[in-house]
Amino acid sequence: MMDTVLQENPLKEGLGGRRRPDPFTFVIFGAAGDLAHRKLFPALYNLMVDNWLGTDCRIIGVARRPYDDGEFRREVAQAIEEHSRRKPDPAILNRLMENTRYVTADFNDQDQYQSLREQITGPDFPKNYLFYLATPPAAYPVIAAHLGAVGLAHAESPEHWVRIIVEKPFGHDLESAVALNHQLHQVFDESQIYRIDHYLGKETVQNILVFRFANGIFEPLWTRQYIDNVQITVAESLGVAGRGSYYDHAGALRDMVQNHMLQLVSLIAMEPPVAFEADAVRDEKVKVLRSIRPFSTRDVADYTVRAQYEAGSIDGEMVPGYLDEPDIASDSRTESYVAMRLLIDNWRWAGVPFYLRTGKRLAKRATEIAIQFKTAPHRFFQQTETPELSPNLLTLKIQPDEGISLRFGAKVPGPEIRVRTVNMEFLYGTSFAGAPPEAYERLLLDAMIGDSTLFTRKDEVEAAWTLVSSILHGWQRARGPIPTYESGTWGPEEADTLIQQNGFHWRRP
Amino acid sequence: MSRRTIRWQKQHLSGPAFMTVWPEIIPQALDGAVPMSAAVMTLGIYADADTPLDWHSIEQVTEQHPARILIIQRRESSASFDGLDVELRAEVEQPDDSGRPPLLFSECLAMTLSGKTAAYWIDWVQALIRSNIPAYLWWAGSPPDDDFRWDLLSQSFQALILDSRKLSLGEWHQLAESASHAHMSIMDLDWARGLPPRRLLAEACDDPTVLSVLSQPHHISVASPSTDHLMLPSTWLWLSWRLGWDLGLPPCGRPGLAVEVTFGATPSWTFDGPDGSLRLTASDSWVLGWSPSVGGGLSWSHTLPENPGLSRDLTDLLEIGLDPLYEQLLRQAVLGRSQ
Repeated sequence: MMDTVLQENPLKEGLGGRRRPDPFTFVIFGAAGDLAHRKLFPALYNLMVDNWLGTDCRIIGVARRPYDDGEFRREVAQAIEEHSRRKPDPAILNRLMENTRYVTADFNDQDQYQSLREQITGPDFPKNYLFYLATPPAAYPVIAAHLGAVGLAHAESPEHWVRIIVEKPFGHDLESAVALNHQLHQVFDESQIYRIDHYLGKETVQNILVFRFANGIFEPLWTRQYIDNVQITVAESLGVAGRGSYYDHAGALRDMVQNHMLQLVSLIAMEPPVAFEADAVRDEKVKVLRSIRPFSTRDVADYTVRAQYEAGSIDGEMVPGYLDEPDIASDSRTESYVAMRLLIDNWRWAGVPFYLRTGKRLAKRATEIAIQFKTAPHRFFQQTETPELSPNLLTLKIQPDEGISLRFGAKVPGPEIRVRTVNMEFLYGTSFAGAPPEAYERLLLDAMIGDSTLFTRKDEVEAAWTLVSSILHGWQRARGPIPTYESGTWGPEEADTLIQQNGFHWRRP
Repeated sequence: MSRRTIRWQKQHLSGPAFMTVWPEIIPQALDGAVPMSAAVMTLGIYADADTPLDWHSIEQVTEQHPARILIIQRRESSASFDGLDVELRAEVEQPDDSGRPPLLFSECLAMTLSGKTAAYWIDWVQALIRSNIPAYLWWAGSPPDDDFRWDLLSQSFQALILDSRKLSLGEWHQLAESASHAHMSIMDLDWARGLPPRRLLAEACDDPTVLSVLSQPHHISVASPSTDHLMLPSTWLWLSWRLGWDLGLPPCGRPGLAVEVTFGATPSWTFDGPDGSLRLTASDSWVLGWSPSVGGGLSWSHTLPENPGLSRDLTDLLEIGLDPLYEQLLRQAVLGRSQ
């Protein structure tokens, strides 16, 4: 037995830190909505199953719909039953429900924020607060302003914290994004704001950083010297699927490129950060976005393609064209497809084209990043049976069939030199058999802990909107019909022409 | 993809005969197709000959970890027959029509060795370990004789997995010491099980009053469903080491401090001190409760995993990997005693 009084906690030494959030009160605005039901509550349940979330967390759902606590809990339990990746365990579900309450509130009514404040600053509630704006975007500044007005935007002591998670879309163009940032900053510091892009919570997207910076062999090749072009594809086979009124105001450029695809570009193209810390990583990402060559009106015409899908067949079923979808204006000029060529003007990437394409009602659902390497400098096998060799291709498959594939040439067995292209494959599903967490689980946990690495910073959002707004501006000036493509194909001919200008072809995912 | 299980078994095979047929077993079951392996490790399991195989647990392991599992059981090496009885179960995923080869997700080879094949089992098993991926040996049997070739074993398997909950301190000591001398890393399933309660204890001890009770208890009582096995012996040793108890495993004590081991349906440890009591129990959750002599109590809890068992323990252990803290514990609490 030790005779001296211990000053330090000897049990902490060498134990390794598991990131667990402090006790906190989680307030979800828009708690009766689709996002909360499909994603947020199942994520909270699974975090509790995995012991990331303790019973000392309190959850308050806030929405306009008039529920009492019991009705709300039943609906949340039902949502978890339907959408959780795990079958709910009644004991854990009960624990979550015991800590869940509901407040009916009009987001515009200051008095109701006052009563919310009185409730959550009471003795039953932890004094760390995480607010989640799962509401229509128009409500973001209103809610933020009211939270500030009733004194809920800042912690009551230095030991406590207040954070706010803001869902996409973050603005409609550069001006609105800057205005929204300004409105939020009237109330919250940047360090308190967590702009969520669920793509960054996907395991395969996070693996881009691990693949690049935890392996020694790839990074030396990751330059203009060895890489010929990069293709990023986010293809969906679904149409607007009940989101017609939203989608027709957004379009593929705002819905996919401004956030998800430019995030993928920045992760692929960024320099190694000095540390795996929020600002170090985001500093490097924003440098990439700022290095993308701006689009002039002429560039928009030459290096971007937008299109709408026509009727066609997907998986053997006839589907309507974009203009015939519900809630879509018959004269809509909103794009359901966009393709573009980006150039990144920095030392590493000068001259390497990045091709992006995304669309609805394409041939299949596939998200992938294909990095095509330059061919071998000397055609050593030119006199053989296989004079033309396919270039090496590294494909990072984000979804489905998550994994990484490397294409290279191998000798066909036999007395002659014949080369055949083969693939070396890594599949997440076979090497890591356990079900990965949902993106929202990872991102919610990060916000609870205060790690903003996987959230988008103000300058990132504005840099992305700067680029996207220049394209939108160019499109607004363009006359003439918008190209179309048949549903179930890989997009319009104009996209093929775009990439063929540089002698490349779109990859078939 | 569709998954199927390939089963194959044969008795009284000579070693060379098995090595000849072994590479052909799975391709023959797949009409000649050679599968790609998804294995991320080779896991050897050394068990006593009379230990029945728990196929359900092994299947759960392979669902979590694509692996080649080699189960090694030995009959008396003096048996007249030299060779082995073999049972193979392999999980294969067959692509629908993509043109890809089938995927060998996992394979479990249970071998009962006799005669010289049993005597030289390490040489035998060496040829079955997959190259370029980690190889672990879980020693689930009794410790071997003194002349056991640990040096050969360490060339085949990089780490020895023990389960100190199922070993006496003497057995644990013997295995750990021998493996350490052969420069094998040691991993402990009981250490993995104990991570959540270690964290609860560490968290509670941020409070100096709780820490003072745990550091200098007047009385410790241990309740266990079986007095043969203490709840989490490796965690107990960790506490003993980190808090300077120098008590080892119960029954033990020192002048003025008794460690009382009693029967209890719910395993628990209770530490009593002048300022209160700290009690760790394991039922549906690890629950750590603090009852101070003055003022209100506190509790910390950690839900036990949904499916406890070998698969869960092994998964937790592999996630922890080689833990420097455990290595220090071994040096301090086990190996140090022999010096």
